Amino acid sequence: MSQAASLQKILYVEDEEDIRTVTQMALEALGGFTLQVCVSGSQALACAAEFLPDLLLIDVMMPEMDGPTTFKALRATPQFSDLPTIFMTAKVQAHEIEGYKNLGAIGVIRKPFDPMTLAQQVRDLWSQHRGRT
Amino acid sequence: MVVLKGPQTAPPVSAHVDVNSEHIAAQLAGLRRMYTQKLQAKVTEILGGWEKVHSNDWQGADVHAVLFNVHKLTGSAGTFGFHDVSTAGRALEEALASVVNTTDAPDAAARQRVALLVTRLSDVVTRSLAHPHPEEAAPSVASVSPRHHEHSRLIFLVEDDSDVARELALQTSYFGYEVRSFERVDDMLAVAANTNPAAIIMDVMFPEGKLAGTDAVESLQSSRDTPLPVLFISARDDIQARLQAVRAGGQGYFLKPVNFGLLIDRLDEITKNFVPDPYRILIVDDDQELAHAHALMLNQASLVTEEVNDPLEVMHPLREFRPDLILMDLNMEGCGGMELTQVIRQHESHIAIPIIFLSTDTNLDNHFNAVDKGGDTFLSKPIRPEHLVSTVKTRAKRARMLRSYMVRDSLTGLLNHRVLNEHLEIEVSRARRIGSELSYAMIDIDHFKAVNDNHGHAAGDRVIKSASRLFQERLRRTDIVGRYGGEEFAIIFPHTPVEQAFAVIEEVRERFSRVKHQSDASDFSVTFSAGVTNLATHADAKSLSLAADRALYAAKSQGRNKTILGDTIAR
Repeated sequence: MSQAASLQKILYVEDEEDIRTVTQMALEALGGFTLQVCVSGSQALACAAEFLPDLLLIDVMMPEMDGPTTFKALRATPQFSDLPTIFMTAKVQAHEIEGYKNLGAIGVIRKPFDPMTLAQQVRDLWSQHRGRT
Repeated sequence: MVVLKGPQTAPPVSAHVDVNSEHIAAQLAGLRRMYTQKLQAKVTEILGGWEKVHSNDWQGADVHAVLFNVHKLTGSAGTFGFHDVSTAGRALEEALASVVNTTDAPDAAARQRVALLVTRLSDVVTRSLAHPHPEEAAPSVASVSPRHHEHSRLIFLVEDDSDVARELALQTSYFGYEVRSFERVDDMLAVAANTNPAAIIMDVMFPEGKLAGTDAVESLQSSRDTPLPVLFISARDDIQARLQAVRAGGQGYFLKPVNFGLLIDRLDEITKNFVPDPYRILIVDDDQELAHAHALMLNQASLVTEEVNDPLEVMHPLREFRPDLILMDLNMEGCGGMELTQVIRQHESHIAIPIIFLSTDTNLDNHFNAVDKGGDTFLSKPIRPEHLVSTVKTRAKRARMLRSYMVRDSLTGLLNHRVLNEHLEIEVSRARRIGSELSYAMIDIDHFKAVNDNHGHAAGDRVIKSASRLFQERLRRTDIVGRYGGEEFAIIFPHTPVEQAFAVIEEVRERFSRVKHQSDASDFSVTFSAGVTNLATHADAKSLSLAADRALYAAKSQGRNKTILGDTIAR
């Protein structure tokens, strides 16, 4: 399935309520994106097919099903086998970030993030990714 | 943090943003208020979890639960303006993570470090809640000094040549930095208004102007309370450009093509990323309560302590706890402070450790006598906490500095051969005693002689430095790295199964092979070979060392640039 040339629809997965709210504000109101917000990995898997996201933005550390597991499960479906994905994490070490990229993510956004520049960060990673393919 | 001044300088994202900007600022302020209300509850939960860790004697599940909550707090607090809380949370998270990653119960020093960081987190939250964020006040520019924010690895690179930018970003990232690139000066300035990087690498010339880089930095720094560390890179070598760089407060100027090794060194210095371990103080006093009281005074000042109440038991913690300083009561039952000091000083490895005496004795003659017998100074009891802390800290700091000249290799800052072997003996006997896993690796740079011959010794030194820097970057606090010889390194991994040690070495090997080294002759890359073994199948340190060496030899004879696992492991 060919990827969208422009970024509009983001499937966003985050277990923490406060972060969900501020991210929604940052990406919808400020960024102009259309978000589908999910509170868990399993919910994300359930609604992905109907929403048809251009990008998956997903927290790494979540109870039950963590970010990487959800990502792999989604990628296993033919429809989303190369869905561009950005992980969000509070981990600092560079080798850990490299690890996510090796999994197939187009980038990592570190937490805590600045809500005023989140949309731009997402756009930067998207353009970098588009530049490569 | 969020006051928006009219139209955004960032590229407009959609037409309705400007109209909404005040609305968004208000929304964000509202969200921040809501988060503030929940913050204390979050910390209380963490403290409750911490209680459990204590009372259940550090069960893995309890520690994980606290780690999860601290991770969440670290990742969210800064988003709502509580940057100090995120920083404190991150430090605690790292300390907890290192405890969780070892295979056995954490030692006293590790537990204390975690305890100190839990207290600190709680204090930071209390303080942050008492002084609510001045975001309603004036300037939107953040003025947090680099030490206090959580982006200690974030570098802004401003370079219009995309090839140069890509290479520089890549090489810098190998050394643990996270590089965010900008082609245009204005783009960086817009982001820097809200995000503090640890440092900025800035080109001087841009299409915007021949000194656009230095101009931009000058204006950026003037709008801040504390300047950001900046390094300049440029093809310009003229004094005009260099002078502008100095005037803009640049802390380095690198001519293109940039020498990455030198750049990284400077970056490390200006971002001060290597934070020293807290000082370790051994307290020897047969008065248990007093020893404990002194320990608490020192803990409050972020010093890690261990107490010994029976003077005859001092040698063991001296070897294992490896204190930076000994605080000793002069008059103890069974063995006096002066005699004990003389016994300690009989050991070559303890000749230099500072010993501070505590006594109610005010007789100056006895003071001089005590110092004559090998003590360093004398403090009278009862002592005020601030005097104790100040004396101890000053001397511990100096002792550590002096000691590092004796035990460290001057080029790399790693432990030297002799000291590494001492450590190996200590760690092997400890691992044997508590039944924990220990792994050991020996590493040797491939074709190093050729590097020196073809590129010169200065380049060779840089290669050694790069390798040691990569190891230091990747290893944990508890791992012990040494420079074993000219181009040889050794690493002791306490509490580590061999597969994990192997994986770490492989990661570094891979990364090292991609680092670009430079010399007058040309750019070049270097690899290393490694052998990794595990204590389980060996009788002692010597046998372990030999096995690692054999594995290293196998790696060399099997084509180099690889890691070989020594022995078969009985599982």
